[in-house]
Amino acid sequence: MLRRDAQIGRLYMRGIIRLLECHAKTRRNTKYKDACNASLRDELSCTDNPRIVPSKF
Amino acid sequence: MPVCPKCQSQFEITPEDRQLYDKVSPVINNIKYHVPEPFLCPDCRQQLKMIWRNERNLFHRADAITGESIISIYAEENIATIKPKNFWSDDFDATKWGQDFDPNQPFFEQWHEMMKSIPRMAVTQKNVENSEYTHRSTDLKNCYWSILTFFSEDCHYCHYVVSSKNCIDCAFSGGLELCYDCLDCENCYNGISLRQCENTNNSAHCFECKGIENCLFCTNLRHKKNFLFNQESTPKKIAEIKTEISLSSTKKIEWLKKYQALLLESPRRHASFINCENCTGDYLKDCKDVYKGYDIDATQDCRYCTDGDMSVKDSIDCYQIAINAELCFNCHGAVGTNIFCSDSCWYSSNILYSSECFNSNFLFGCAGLHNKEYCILNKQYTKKEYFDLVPKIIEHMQKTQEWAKFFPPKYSPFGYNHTTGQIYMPLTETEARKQGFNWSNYEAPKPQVEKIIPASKLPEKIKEIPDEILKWAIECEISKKPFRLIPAELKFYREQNIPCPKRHPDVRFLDRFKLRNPRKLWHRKCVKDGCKNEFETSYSPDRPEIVYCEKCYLETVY
Repeated sequence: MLRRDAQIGRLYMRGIIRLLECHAKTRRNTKYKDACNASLRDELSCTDNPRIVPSKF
Repeated sequence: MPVCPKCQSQFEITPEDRQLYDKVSPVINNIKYHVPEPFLCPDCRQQLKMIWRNERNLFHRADAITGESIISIYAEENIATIKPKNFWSDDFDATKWGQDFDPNQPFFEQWHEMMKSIPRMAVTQKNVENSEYTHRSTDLKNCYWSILTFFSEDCHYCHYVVSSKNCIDCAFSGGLELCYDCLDCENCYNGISLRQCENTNNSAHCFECKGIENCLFCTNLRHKKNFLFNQESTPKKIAEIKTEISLSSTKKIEWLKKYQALLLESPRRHASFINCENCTGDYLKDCKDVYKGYDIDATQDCRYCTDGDMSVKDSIDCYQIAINAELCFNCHGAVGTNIFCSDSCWYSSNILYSSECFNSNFLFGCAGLHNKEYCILNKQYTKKEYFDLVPKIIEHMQKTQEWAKFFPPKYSPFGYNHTTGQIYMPLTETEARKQGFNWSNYEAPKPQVEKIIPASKLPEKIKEIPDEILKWAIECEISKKPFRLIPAELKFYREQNIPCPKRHPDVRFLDRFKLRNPRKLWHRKCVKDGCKNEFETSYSPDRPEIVYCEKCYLETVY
């Protein structure tokens, strides 16, 4: 999927991150925890309205 | 040029390949253990990784720890499987299956002997509500048999779908609502059989259209309303044809034949690239120096990698690689740095020959570990012991010719027919077994229904389908496998006036999947008169479509 639309791209990334991030107790590997959190933070900060389902229609 | 001993095709090993193989070669105790040049072609190398991934086949199994009934991707009873909650539990510690390395036995045999006893995670899902029959999905509500689907609601039989609502049979798409049978689409509302469309509304059977409304059987349109076969029409005429095709399959076939002719007359772009520099492959976005990559996003300096996402760098021969992955070689499902010949290792670094290991560093030949360091064959070592033993194992593997090879296919926990290999490179049972792949003879239990009716006996009009169909099964017209409708699906077909499907969801998925181009490249010239541009494209030269370079395509469409 090309994810041309930025919002869809961000939600896809967020989905992948959520899928891959492991159980909270197990996420002790600082390097990857930080990378993961940074990606998620970047993604969330540029999502004005983190809607679960687009409502534009 | 070397010849692949498996498929007999010639393949190249470029200086850039050699450079990257050198870069990903592991360094242990300041000694670089070189990756030898590949002896299989890139396709056969990818196939060996694909047989470790089952995306779509889900089975009822018993949790190996608690005994409760769960949904799992593992069909075979000899593979122990546990639900994700038990896998992530602090009580689950796979080091108890640890064993010593035996220098008198091939490494892979020892690894498999240990790996086969360790329970594997049944499915990967997170925050799903009333959507148990899903895999590799997060944040779903009321979804059924949807794979790699995120943030969606009431979506059934979907594959790689994001942020969508009320959709059936959609794939590789996002932002859909009330859509049916859509592929590679974004932000579409009330669409049927759309392909590579964006921002469309109330349209059906359209290809590569953007910003259209109420269009039918159109290709390459931009910002149009009420178009039929790329000609301006009236809403009344379009509504009449839409009704006609929903009521009669014979009429639908006639219209579709005309549409197929239009599709062949319409130019296609040679590849789907967005913001890419010096790349070859297809479905690439924000990539630089990617060679023969497919379905990849935000990636740099990678070769022969497919399905990659988010800041992947300097990796080669990987399948499914994501989030800051770097210096990975010959992996399936790599998220981390320096992951070598491993399967599904996430948020980890310096991992060699391991499977389903998470948040770990310095593992060699492990399986099912999380938060571990310095383990070999799941046995805990000190840092010194680890770095003393690993070089010995590598030297042993070099002697046994196991070094830098992916796990042997016979050790895959899946039958080839259940893996993504069967989707991308389909084989018969005989062919698969001849190539050393497993084959699953799992037979789904017969559905407990009042009766099974052949698809040919289904009424054409959805209005004539009785509610009782929910108690019956339909025999697929192609695979003869029985399948059932779910209530939400029947409601959707009735509301959207879509005929009841005559094919099993698996057959429908494969039908749709075949509409995407293969993961192969051919060198071709732009066929527009006067243009001398050449490119690598996934359209083979014998295909009848008109293939343009990006410049000519944009000039034609806009």
